[in-house]
Amino acid sequence: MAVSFLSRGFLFCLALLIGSECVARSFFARRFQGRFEYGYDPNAGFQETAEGYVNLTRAGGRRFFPQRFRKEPTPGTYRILVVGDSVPRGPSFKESYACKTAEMLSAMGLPAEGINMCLGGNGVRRNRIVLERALKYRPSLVILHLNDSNEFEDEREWQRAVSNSSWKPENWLRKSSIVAGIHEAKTEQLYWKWIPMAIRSKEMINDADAELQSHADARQESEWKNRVESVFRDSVEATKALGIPVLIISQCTIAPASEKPRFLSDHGLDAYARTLTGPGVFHLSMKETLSALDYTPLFADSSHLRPEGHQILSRAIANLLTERKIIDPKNP
Amino acid sequence: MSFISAKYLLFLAIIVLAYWRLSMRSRVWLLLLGSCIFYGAWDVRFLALLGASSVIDFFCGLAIQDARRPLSEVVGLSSIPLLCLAGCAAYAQGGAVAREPLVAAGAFFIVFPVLYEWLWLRPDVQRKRAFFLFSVFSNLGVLCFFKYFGFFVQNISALAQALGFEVGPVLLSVTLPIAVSFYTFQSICYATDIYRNKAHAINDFVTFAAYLSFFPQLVAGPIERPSNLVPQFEKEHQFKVEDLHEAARLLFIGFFKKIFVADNCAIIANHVFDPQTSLNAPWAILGAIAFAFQIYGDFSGYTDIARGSALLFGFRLSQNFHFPYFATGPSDFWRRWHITLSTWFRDYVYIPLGGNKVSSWRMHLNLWLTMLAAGLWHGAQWTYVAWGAFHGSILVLYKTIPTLVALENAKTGWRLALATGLMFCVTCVGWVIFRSSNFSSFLSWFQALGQWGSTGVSWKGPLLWLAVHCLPLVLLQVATRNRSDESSFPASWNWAVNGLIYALVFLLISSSAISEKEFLYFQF
Repeated sequence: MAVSFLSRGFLFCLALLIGSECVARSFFARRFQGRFEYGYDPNAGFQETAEGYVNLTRAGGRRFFPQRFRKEPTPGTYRILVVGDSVPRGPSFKESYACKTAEMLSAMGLPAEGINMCLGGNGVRRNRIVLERALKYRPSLVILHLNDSNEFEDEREWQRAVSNSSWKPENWLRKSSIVAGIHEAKTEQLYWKWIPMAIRSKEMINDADAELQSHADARQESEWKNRVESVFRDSVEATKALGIPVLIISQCTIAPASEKPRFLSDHGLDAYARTLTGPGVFHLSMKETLSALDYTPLFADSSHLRPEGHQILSRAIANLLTERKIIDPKNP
Repeated sequence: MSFISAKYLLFLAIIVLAYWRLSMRSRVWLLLLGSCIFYGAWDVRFLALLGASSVIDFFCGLAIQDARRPLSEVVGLSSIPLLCLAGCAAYAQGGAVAREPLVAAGAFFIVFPVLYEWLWLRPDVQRKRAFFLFSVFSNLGVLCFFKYFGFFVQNISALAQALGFEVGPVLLSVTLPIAVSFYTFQSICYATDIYRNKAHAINDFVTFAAYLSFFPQLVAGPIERPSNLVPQFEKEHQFKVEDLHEAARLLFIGFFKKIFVADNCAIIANHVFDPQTSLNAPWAILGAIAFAFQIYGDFSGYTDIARGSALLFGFRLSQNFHFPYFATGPSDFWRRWHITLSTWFRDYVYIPLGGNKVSSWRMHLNLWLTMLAAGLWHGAQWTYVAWGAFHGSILVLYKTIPTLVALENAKTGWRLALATGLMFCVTCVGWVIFRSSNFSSFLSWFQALGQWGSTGVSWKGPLLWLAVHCLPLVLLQVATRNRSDESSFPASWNWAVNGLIYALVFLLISSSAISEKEFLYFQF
């Protein structure tokens, strides 16, 4: 009866879909864990092994550069942990200033390991969540990269996470990993990449876009700025409270090629970062570090640095760490 | 209630499950009740209009067949619109029902029975014709008043002002009831076919009301002939598993066309046809193609869902589309696009005008006038009239220029490809006229074809987006092009291929945002 009621084609389709769902849940469970919290899941991308290691992976909506480090720091090794967005993340782990600074310090006889926990598009709120988890691994120094241009993404992903977790009928299908995965892949890889913002803002078929569009005004901008300042301050305080030194690196961007002469802009971040400095909290301005140089070739675009730029920043960091005795060469 | 909402699917499931547990008579009542809920979900007040239309056509249909009903029944049923509106007024707060509709419903309650009795006093031959004309003109009256009142008033005022007359403001604003174009046309063909002895009248009001308001096809067709649908309301349907399978496939393909193809193409089309958008040639072409796929996916998707929904009750609705973009010429196109509307215009406008049994120039004029009327049917807007005129002109050209006649008759090879490609381009130009909000918008689109400079918004990503969303439909249609039903799968595909295609189509639908965008043809 059941066979005649449901056609063989339908049953085969059902079997394929159930099979793919089972495969997704069995073999890609880690990949999907936290995927639909869009960076707001505290554990996504962190994998602790029984051998006492931590693997940073591209999973759960976080695309860490794959790294492996001991959960407990190696005695005598200076652990530098960088939290930020795509600028400190760099073109690759090896070329990022997190790794280069550690290499430089090691070359100076100060054994150090650099851990790059930066994620493209992360704003202060999502960085705060990464930091919470990162502090568990007892770093010797936390570098917080200060930037205020990712609040749109933070807000959008927050809206998506909230929308996704609801049980509205239109979300029922999305409770399937395979359906939600395909839907999200299309949104992120095709819709947001292929459809220009000018069109998306008119359409607003995506809840997150619609929400943002309705708020994209000066008042929203000002709210975001206040949020950056308050959340970033919390991050600094939380790290300081654990007795871990903090180095704030304030971001700068380069004016577009059409602007003559070209100049570096810090969007007021340098002044804000200086207000946070004090015992255990240090500041390095990207603008001040780079402006004395021929900085144009150091940038890949208006904000992202080429490997040479990361090299210069890491030298500046290493110098600051040794000169200000944040790291003591005699007693690493 | 949108066809692609979870609410509709739930509603459909409840009605279907209940339907197959009931006796034949109760099923008709259930369908009528379901249709009232479905239609009332948009605006319950317009049920009164649908009720009035049902009452007129029911009694006129019977009268054309010489069947007189007792005055008490006529009076009783004539009270439906008034009771409906009075119920709305009593239930709703804050003046949801204006005074004018209540007055009109009250007048209908008094005037219709009087008119009915008066027409029965006419001699036999005159009476039949009088009831037929009464039905046709009351339907046309409803259509003209609700759809074209504002349009005519606006244009007459503009003309009067141009001629130097002073015109005061017209205060009456008329809301267009959803589905009015479809059910009035269905009513007209009901009365006409009975008058021509091609169909018989339904002698039970509940069955007739269920027929006229049958919810799967109420809002945007297919416009059913009584010879197809009436007998299906008069027989007891048996549940068949094959029907269930076919219905599921139709619903599935319908959702795919609407959610995956149409709604995603709409993103591009809406941008291009936004008067604020600056266009260049790539954008203009992209917009025309996007709208061609949007309107096809939207309307044929709707039709598939309508057919699938009806089949769940055992009803077979007419096909409305048959691979329209594979047409080799305009005549071929109109045999494939909105088939029930084009055959309606053929049978009830073109043939009564003389059809092709008149001189050549008269036949061309008839064709052109018919297309003009078809354009105007789509809405009270000059661009729709221009779209009708454009298609009328293309039809005439394809009938008078020998090269084009030969091209339309091409069956194989490069000629077939050329004919199909050319007709698709012509169709796209037609869609641009159709989609443009006014003539200056169309002119802007046309001028953009000569501009190749950048507009500041890249068209390459959107081109890829369009390709990704149109290609699966095109491939599916190429594979199924020899089938009599465009929404069926090739017979050579076994269950495994079918299952794989279902799974792929399901994932494609899932990949798209369920935006519950309204169907385009609901506005007509």
